[in-house]
Amino acid sequence: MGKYILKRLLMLIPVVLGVSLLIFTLMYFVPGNLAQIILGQSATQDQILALEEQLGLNDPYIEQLGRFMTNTFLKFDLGESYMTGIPVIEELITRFPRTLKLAVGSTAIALLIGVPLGVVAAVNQNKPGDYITMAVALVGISMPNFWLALMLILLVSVKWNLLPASGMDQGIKSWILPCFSNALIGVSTQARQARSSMLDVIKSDYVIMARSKGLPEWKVIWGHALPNALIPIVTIAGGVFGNMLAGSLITESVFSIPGIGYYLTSAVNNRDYTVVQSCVVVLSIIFSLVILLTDILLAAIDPRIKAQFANSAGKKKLRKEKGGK
Amino acid sequence: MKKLLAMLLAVIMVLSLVACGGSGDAPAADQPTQSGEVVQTEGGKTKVTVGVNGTAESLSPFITTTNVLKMIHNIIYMQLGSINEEGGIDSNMYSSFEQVGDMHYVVELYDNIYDNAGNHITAADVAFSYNTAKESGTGQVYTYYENAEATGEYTFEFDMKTDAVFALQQVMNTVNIVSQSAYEADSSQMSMGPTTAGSYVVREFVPGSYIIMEKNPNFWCEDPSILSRDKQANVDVIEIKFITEAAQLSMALEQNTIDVAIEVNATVAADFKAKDTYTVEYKASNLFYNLYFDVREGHLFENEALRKAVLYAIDQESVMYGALQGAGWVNKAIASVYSADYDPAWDEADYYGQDLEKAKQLLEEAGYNGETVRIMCQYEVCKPAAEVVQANLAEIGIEASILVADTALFSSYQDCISDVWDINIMFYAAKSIGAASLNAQFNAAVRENGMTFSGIKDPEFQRLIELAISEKTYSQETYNAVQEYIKEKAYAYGLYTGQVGYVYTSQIEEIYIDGNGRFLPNACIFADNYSIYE
Repeated sequence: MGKYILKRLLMLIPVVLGVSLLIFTLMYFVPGNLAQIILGQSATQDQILALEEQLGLNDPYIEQLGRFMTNTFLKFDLGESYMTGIPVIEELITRFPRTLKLAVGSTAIALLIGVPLGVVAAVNQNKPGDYITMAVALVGISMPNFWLALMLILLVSVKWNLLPASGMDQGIKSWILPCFSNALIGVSTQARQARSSMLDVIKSDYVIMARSKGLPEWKVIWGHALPNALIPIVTIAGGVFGNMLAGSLITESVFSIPGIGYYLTSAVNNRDYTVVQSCVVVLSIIFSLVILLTDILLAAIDPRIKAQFANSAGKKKLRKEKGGK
Repeated sequence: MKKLLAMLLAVIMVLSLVACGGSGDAPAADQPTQSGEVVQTEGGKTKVTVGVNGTAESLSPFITTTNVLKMIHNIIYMQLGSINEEGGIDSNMYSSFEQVGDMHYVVELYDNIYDNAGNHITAADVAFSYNTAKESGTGQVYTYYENAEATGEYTFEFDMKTDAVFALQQVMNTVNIVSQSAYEADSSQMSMGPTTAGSYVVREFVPGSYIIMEKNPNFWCEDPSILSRDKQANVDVIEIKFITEAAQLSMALEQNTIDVAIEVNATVAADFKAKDTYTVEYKASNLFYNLYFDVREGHLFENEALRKAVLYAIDQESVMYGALQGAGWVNKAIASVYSADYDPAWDEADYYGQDLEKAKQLLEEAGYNGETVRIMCQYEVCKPAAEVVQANLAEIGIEASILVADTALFSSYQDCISDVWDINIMFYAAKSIGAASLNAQFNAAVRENGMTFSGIKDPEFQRLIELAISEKTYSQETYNAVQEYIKEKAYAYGLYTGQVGYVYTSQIEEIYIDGNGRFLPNACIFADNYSIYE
């Protein structure tokens, strides 16, 4: 298992380097003049050229790429924001907990609501319960989360005055609406996945056996069927977390939460290259780690995966022993 | 199944309508809100909470990237002076100010200026602030001066690099003054909790979320009447909430979590007009919208008759209504009613105006070949205006396409050498002195290729521009001469100036807009019975 984790960690290196190369290249070629944005539209050509020179924006692509890669991966220096002059790492440290809170909260909601919905749909296949649940999931997956966010704000915050409409200064209350609106797509994805997985296992021999033994239906479903249907659900959960991180770009803007998504959105608009590049690199590392954790979790809950690694380790050991003899 | 889906959709629609429909009564101003932020108690510190559609990420004194940040800087930092309504300068820190020689200035500071940490602010600190802003600041204004030097404990001298009209006022009002020792001691360059000599100090700042400022308990000035109005401290605590989603501003007002909302659109403002607890007021925005032609040689609009044909095709009123739903004024010059030197006589003079017959005649005269006209507009905000212009052009048989450029794209495409537009609809921020904005728009001398961003290369025009933008020769006459020439040659066309909607608690008697067109909560006039406490 240790080797598996190490192997997966090593695989992160090309992924992160690839992402870095891609985002740097995209930002390099995207039109937009950072110097002009900083100086304002009344700046003269001379002033713009001088600032471009000072910021190194006129250097060749390879030189700029080399500088970015060296600073990021060898010196672990993410640079400073061109717009504010604040080191990006400081901003990320302050902002990441907020984005994490949003992503974790949204993923938890997606799992806690989506999975039971999917189970209910599977158990009631082709019955009204199934139709309603899947219709809800369809609406959820089709509805833009910014629209849902605004509707929730109008209803829950403005009309009922139950929760704050924006900001994050009211503790947990501030996070309920953002998490719910961000989680909607996750709820739908999880519900559809859970239904499909449950349908696969619900007619299995061991489930029929459990029923024939006279176990109560709830125990059959939640105790025998669900654990065996979990593997694809857990796999999808990793992806859902990634979606929740991506969703933060919109949700944080709508709810005025100063997290990484909000930071990244403003940086893209301002062509603040260092911030965009650093945020994307950091998010890609986090996402890769989450996928790795998901795989480790899968190995823990799926004896077949565990056995696969145990077997390969065992075979190697055996080969070594044979070779030694 | 169909019935089920229909029911579900009906439920969703009802939910949406319930959410959109009547907002319920906003809590009365003297009631605690759900959030508990504006809690009414007898006594305590008075507080005003302002919602702004923008953000601030750093309070560093020499980085002034957004309007919101400039507003906060104005509240917490001291500048040598502030710009008044007439475009002049009112003192904040100096007892005398003198021009010696062509562009050399000598300033005598008050001797009793201290920041909130007790550091004595002397001429050396002012020189340090000027020089640091020049070296590391982000802002064009920092390029207007050089050689800032302390020549005595309270005597400070500097040279201007330009004699452009209004440049001096901008320098004196933009450079934030800090104590050198305090600035150097702060490893974050005062980005989070600056030490300031202003009438307010920062109590709490969460970048991108909110800032809370309170009256400086150790403010050095015992007689605030010697200061400009910008520096008055009429309320104990100011909280500014950064609400970047425009729709959220009105919701925050509904929830009573803010007392003032800036840049509220006309529809939302109308909702609040009916409520006794709020006042709705419109003020002229300092942004004025214009239309520029790419007049370079060999390009479509090199042809003066064609330019005039376009201008006679445009229905200015429709453009303004399309863009602002009527909440603005049509312009009769490349200027804003916001500026003190806006000449009311322009409004009475002929300024093209839609005349389709004349437009068609000019079009024929111009020998228009049916080429599609490319209209570029600055951000989404100019798109409605561009669409009306597009429709107007269609009326005389000109086909036009529209390109909407976002912030970054626009910065690349603004110059006609980008070759992506024939007509550019964009806005400029007017200064108190309108002639000051001519420099960026029409001064070809500051550009390497010797032509303006819209390709004007006209010695007579350049001569008029230079007369209007130099402090020495600027006058209403020289300014008017430029406007007249632009009109005659149809180089550009004034479209409209917008209004900025302010919705605020009726416990504020008068809101205050500074000489740069920015709202300053500290200098508002609060009612005697103001009862919003911390």
